[in-house]
Amino acid sequence: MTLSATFDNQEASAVKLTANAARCPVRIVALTDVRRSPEMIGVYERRPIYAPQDRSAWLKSIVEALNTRGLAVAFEERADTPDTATAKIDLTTAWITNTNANVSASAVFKMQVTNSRGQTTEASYRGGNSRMPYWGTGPSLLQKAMDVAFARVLDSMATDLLKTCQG
Amino acid sequence: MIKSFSGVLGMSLVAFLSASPATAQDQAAVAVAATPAATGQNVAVAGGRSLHVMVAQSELKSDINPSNAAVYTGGGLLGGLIGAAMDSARAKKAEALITPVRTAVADVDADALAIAAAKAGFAKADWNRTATDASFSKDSSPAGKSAYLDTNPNAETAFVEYSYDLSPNFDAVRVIERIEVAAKSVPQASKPEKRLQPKYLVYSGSVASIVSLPDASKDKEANAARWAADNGKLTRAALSQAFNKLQELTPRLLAMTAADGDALNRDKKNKRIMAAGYFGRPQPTSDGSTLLWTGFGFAQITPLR
Repeated sequence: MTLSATFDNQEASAVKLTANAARCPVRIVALTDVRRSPEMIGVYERRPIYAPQDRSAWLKSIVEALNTRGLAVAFEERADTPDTATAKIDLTTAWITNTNANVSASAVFKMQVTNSRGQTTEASYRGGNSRMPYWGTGPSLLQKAMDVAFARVLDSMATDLLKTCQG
Repeated sequence: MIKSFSGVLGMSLVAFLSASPATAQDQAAVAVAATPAATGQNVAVAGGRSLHVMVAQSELKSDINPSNAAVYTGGGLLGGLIGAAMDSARAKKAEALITPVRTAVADVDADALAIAAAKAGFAKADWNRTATDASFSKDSSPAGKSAYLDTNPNAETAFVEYSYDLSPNFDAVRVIERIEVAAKSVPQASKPEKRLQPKYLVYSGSVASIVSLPDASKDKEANAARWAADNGKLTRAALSQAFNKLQELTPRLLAMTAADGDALNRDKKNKRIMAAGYFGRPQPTSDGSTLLWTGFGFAQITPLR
């Protein structure tokens, strides 16, 4: 199967937002899939799982979901908003496998953030999802596992990005 | 779920059936040569043979001890359901425990370790003299391997797949190398992917390298914390040690003839033992480690050094 290039953002976010707070602007200046074999997501029950062919659109679809986590994301390498935090994001892991009875997905982004004062930090953010397939192991289950893993990564990334707007 | 459950049952059955009764045999008589001999898997073949390294996983895998609930409940659907639910819960817990370890060793390039192990392990195979750059893929599915056979010009391909994980009790890092030599042309195979079926393989074997955590606890959470501590220092060392051991064991396995393997299988005087989850006949070693002949290859258990 091939994963959808459109991220399904249905998983409830765990990010705690302040009521009526303005969304925190962030410019994504680089978004790259740095995995060794970016066309592959994994092998599940002896079947290959492929990444979407348009991986740029796929990554953008995932990172755009930061907009539902208190952020206002813009994809631009240059901008006339120097007081906005910038982020360089690398996808280092996107993997689905079977762990005994379960489908397990994991995703890791490495993110380098430069705040409006020019201070730069870098960290890796991880999300995972392990679930029992019950009666089926169809594409929707694998897609769901991967999307939930990405949703959890986005939560932890958003938590750190929101700090750039907090003084 | 049923498929997974029956898969586990099937594997257990195969392992059980593959065990043959113990008989007498002189270990020295079946000692395997330390350097590759001119066995079929080592010699050059007409049309050439390529080396294709595969690592399907992207991170350290977890494992569990499967539940015996189905057995205790007398089998049937209910037992299967209970067992599957227990396995699912165990797998979730294992995934949670392994996460800090994965984070700690996120920068370890296990793919590169695998490629290096394969190059060193196959360096003395006659057919591999020109293969300075083994090809690499993360697609180890039958479809992926079949596609590789079609696109590669050589008559045969040695598929070498690596997997690595933490044992169910988090007391060892395990690296497994599976070797399958498949032919591009198999007239009897009704579908392209069937060229990869065991009965059509030119050769198959496996080597497992298990590196045990010193003074491991029965508490898997405590063990997991030790693997993750200090930026995954112990995990890094264990992975490196395990892949290095494969480089020694692979030529030894490749040098064996079918008769050598049969002799080890029939060595009934040398009783099979269980070690680190592997069942096999112990073989002499010079370093005091435990080396088993499993019937399909070797499994070596060494303490983390």
